Amino acid sequence: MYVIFCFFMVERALSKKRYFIAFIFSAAIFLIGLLLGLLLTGSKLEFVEKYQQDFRTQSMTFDIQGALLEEDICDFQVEEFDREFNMITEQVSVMEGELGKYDEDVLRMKEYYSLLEIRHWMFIKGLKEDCGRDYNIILFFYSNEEEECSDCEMQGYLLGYINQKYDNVFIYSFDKNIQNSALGLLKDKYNVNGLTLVINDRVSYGFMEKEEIEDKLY
Amino acid sequence: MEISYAQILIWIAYFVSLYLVIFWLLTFLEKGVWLKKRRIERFPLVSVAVPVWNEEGNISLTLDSLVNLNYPRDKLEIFVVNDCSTDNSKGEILNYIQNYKGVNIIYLENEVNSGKYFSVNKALRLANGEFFVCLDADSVVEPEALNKMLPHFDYDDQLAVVLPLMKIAAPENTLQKIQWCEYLLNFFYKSLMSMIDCVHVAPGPFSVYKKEILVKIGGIRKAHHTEDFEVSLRLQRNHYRLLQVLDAEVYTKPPKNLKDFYRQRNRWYKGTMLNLFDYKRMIFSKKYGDFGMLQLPRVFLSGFLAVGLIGFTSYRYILKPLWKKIWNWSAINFDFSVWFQNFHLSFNWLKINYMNGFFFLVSITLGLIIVLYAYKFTREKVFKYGFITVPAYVILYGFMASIVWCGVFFDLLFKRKKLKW
Repeated sequence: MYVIFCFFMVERALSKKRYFIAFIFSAAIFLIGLLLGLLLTGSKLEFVEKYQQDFRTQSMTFDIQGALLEEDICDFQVEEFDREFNMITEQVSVMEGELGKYDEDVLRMKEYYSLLEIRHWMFIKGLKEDCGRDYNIILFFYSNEEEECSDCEMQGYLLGYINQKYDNVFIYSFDKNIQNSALGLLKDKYNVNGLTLVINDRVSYGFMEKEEIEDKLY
Repeated sequence: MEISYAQILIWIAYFVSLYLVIFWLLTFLEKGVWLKKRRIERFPLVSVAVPVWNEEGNISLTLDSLVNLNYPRDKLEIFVVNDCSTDNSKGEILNYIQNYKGVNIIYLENEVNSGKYFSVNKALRLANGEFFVCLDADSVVEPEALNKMLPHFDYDDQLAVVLPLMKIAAPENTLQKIQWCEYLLNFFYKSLMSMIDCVHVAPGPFSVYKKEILVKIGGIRKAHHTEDFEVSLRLQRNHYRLLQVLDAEVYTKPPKNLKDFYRQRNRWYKGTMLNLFDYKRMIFSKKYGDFGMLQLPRVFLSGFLAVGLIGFTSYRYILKPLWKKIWNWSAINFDFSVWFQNFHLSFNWLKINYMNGFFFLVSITLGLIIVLYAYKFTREKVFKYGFITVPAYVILYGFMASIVWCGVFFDLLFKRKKLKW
């Protein structure tokens, strides 16, 4: 009975050719998207690295100009210099968000960025000490490892707030796990251990509340 | 580059959706959706079942549309089955029958409230027609519907059911307009599915069955409140054909508010899942051709994908960041004044995710093609109900459906015993 029943049945077809063509098309679109993403991420990296290079050249130019012409460092207007540095900070942060904190390119970029930070810090410190500018300088040593420093992200956010609130506060954040001899010297100088904050040369360890930081600024 | 689980899930969902859209577009290019125009040459007896439960105010309109069918009156028999309505449905029906004595309307009553499938089967047992139609009491049918649908049966012995194009009648609010858009797209898709025998559900309103086949496979069965889905699965299992036409129209009333929408969809999706479990052997079975290998896996997996996608992405991109934000805000004592003072719009091209941007553009383009074709072949204008309808559907519908799917999975996992099946 079932055989007779089957005889009249609809012939069930498999659109194998269409399955295959649809797969080829969708895989092609998907791969184009992936390649486009990878290529453009590469060009973003190149852009940031070039920007960092330009900044280094610019800071070296200031150094040399100062030495050669014996220009008074105290006449230096910090705004433009600072704006460009903030741009680099944002670019590094964007690339870290996109590629991840363990990406080799990001780590290399951050090492270079740390050196630029030290250079910037030295410059601002000079302005503060030699010219009596009313600057507050904060060094923030953090770790990206959640288990190593659970409060670091929150402290970073709080320092971002302080930076926005006060015009005369300069904050330099250093990933303490980046291996670089210059950074190593700085860590040794302040005996960095876990989350470390150096506010106007005074060292504190562990998370610091908003009010505590504000007290130390003035 | 670090890749998160949420990103992988989004890619999988994107690839699967892209694959299906391209597959159906290829089907469209190869087969089209228009069926050969058939003229009606004979007028066989047609039995219509109208199950009624508390449809006071609606039932007269439904019966009007049946009485006004452009079809010989002596070739129509209408069974109105009252499933113990507690409103004045009975009075309205009897009054109607008295006023239209020229039409063969038979009034039936269930002794206890027994559900739609019971009412339909009651009519099926008494039906004398060569064809059997069910029309929900909240739907109306266009006068030429039977003339457009019946001729298809004369050219295909294995054709078991012809489905009309179902539209939303005069949508009033945004939710109904979203559903209007959804129905047009769904039925356009269904007409494509029909071309390769992949229709998985013959909707309740005015699907025309060949009665002999419907009786042979056992009529309508109780099936998790989604009997139309179950009977379609049974027809497919027995290798019968289900045909979607786009020229015969039936109009239905959609839920007006989110609560009713959630309830309706929860019932549909839950019924879909439970029926699919009952017919699980058909999934990935080559015996059923494209229906077994493509359509059923798609229907089955869409729920899991929706829940997975909304679960992972909302955790990864909404809940987790939001929790972090709140945690961070607590560090600054929720003092937002500083951010407002220093707020400025800035554009940083580094922040653009070109890969996702590309995928988004491809999706929008393909989506637009589908929408335009769907509107063209269902004879509707894209902006008939305002400029916001289609964008609202595109943006909100997937999210709404995913929320319902989450509710369905929650019910199936934690409230199984409480379900009143």
